[in-house]
Amino acid sequence: MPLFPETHYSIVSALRSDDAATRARAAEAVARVYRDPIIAVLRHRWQLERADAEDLAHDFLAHAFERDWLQRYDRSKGRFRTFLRSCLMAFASTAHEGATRLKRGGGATHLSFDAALHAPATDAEVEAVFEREWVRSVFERSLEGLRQECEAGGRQLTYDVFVAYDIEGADAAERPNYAQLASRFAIPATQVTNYLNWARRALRRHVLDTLRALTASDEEFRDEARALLGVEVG
Amino acid sequence: MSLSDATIRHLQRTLDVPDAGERYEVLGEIGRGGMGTVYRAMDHQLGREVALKAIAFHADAGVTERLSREARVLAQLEHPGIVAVHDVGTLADGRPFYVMRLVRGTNLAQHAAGRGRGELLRLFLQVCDAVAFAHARGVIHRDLTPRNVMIGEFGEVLVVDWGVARVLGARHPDAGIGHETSPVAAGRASGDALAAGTQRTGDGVIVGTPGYMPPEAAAGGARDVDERGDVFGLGAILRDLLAASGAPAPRPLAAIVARATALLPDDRYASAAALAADVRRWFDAEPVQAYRENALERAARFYGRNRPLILLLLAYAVVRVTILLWRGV
Repeated sequence: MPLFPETHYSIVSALRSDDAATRARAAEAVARVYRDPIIAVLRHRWQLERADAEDLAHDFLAHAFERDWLQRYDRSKGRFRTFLRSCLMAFASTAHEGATRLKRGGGATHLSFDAALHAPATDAEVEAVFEREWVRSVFERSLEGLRQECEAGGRQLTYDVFVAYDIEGADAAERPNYAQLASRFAIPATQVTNYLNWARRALRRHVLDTLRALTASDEEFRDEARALLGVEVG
Repeated sequence: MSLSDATIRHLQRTLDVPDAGERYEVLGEIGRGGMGTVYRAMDHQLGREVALKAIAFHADAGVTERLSREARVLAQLEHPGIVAVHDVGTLADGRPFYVMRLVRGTNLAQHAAGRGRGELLRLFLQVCDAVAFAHARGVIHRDLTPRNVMIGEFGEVLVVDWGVARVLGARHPDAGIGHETSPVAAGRASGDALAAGTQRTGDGVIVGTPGYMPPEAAAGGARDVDERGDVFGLGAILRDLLAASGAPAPRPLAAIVARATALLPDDRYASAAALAADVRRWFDAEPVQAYRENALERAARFYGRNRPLILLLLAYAVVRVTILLWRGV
């Protein structure tokens, strides 16, 4: 019997469910997290306008789910998000070729890939952009989960203190200290510590729950957790 | 809410602190290594501070088993010179951890600077005693360095970082648990015991820290390292302590270091206990096994050991001679 038990639940696995409703919910969840990284890659790799990138991202996700591309993911061959990015690159390349063909033939196209012909991004750059935006997306979804949890549990003040210190404070020229936060929210300074500890623990749980859901195995989950908590972005 | 790169960096740093549940509140990081990180934590159930060791996300495959093994090995080694394990568990993120006594103090490398030889040798003997106890339980440390010895606030000596220990199953009372059937190496992560240097491989295992690692381990034969491998590490520690004391080492002590750190295991002391016994002989002004002294040195040692008696006899002789001479006058 192992000393330390392991547990896992996966949306990636749910994509292969026999139940259509389960598959649809899983597809929605995947789209929520990956939409922004996909748009970022499309804009960076082919230097698309924002609107064009959003349209193409929508097309890609729709194709991927309708044609069961993501169900073909084999976890023994690598990370799910690497697989998804490969699918995206293949899809976008095809779209790019189609757009170029149409342009040569004098037809109109709703996509402009012209800039990519002049300064194509390398695979490493694309991968870095995708990973950075994926990290951002996971944190943003997790923060939204924390907000909802606080709202539902009557912990709005906890959330506000956390945002003031750990979110807005990270961008501020000078992060507010605990005494300033205590004064601003009319609470004891010790309560600031308690609120921050609770919120950080809850956010960590949301981040890890998101990662568990987006991975297909404990090994992949740990890899992604390492990428998220062990590698700095920006 | 859109998050900036600066905010994400901050969150990444903040959220790396492990969630060990309601009982343990992580207060800060003590040290970080290849196998994991050691944190200072508050045990709210018992109202005391403890050290919590958790594996890192970037740990190699198999590290979970190694941490588990380290916890089990330590649990078998109940000795005042070996840090005690209080609890094991799983973090909210699935990483395993174990809880041990929080040692407040410095490592032997930091502690040794500027201290007298006698004090350092007494500390060294306590290290030998702890290692000898482990050997008697069938456990080989395999990474003995001054950084892996902690000196507590009250002078207590603790051998830490048993992450690469090898258990000789035949002599271990809990055969099967921690019994090493194949060579395993691991990173290290306890307090100050985190200096770079330990190398890890798969099959051709290299375990230890350069300078303290016996030649048989450096050659990739970690599987073959036995008690005499730890004797080598102890000898290297003794060498450092003698150097730290500032004074030139007496020849018998230098010979003890030379025997302990001999290239071939057969040329070393057979055990930590044997090494300690030879150091104690030097303390007691007895001949040490590692050094064959000449007549002058034997006389000097005899004088050193019996100086009060010799001085008394000399004084008596002088008085007698003086009286005889006075009467003769």
